Amino acid sequence: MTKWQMTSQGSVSCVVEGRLDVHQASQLRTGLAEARSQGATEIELDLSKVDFMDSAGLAAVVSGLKQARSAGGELYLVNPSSQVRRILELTLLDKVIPQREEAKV
Amino acid sequence: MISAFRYFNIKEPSLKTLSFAFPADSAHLELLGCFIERACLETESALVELVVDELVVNAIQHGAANRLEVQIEPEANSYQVWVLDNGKAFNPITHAPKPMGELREGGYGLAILHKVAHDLQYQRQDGWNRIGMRFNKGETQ
Repeated sequence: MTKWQMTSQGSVSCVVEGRLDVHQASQLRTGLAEARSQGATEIELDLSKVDFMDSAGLAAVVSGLKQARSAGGELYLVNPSSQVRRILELTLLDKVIPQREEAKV
Repeated sequence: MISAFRYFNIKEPSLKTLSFAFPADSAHLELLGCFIERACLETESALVELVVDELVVNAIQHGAANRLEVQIEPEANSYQVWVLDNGKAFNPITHAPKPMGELREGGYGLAILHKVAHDLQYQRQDGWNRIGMRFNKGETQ
């Protein structure tokens, strides 16, 4: 399940729950595109309740980050679950995708 | 049709091969994950699931497979895992993995496979890809 809400001008909080695999990755891409179309530039992506993420999910996150940056904004992962941390560490993307322990927007 | 069954090893009856066969539909990935979790109790099953998931999705999306099967053979100190699909020939061993740590949207599935799985094997038999790998018991990456 993917849901998002605008929390302040240009800031969006997006929450993903359950599996972030090839199925849900497309929902995440759609959700982030909708948020951008509403003017979101700073995106917090809460992955604390994701219990499985594969490379398709990872690609959706990277896509969201690149598109946020191309619009002059940023995407932050908020409190990623242990499984998400695992794949970020394996792929060394934990060094390049910004993370926050708690939501700020 | 989805089927899960168990083979018995005639030479060593104590060793059993667990099998999960399913049509090429990524909607079955969650069920496949449950199968792997229960079959690989003595290793980090999430890593096995991650690698198998990548191969299965690749076979469906790029190999045009319509049947898949995952076999897990518990051995003394490891699990021998086979991923079978009837799609186009694909040997993951001959594909060099792309570097980690780059902000790109593809190519991480194969890189994870090479990083996490041991003793990669590839066979092409009767129109089926058979990709083999080993995960040691008690091992975390």
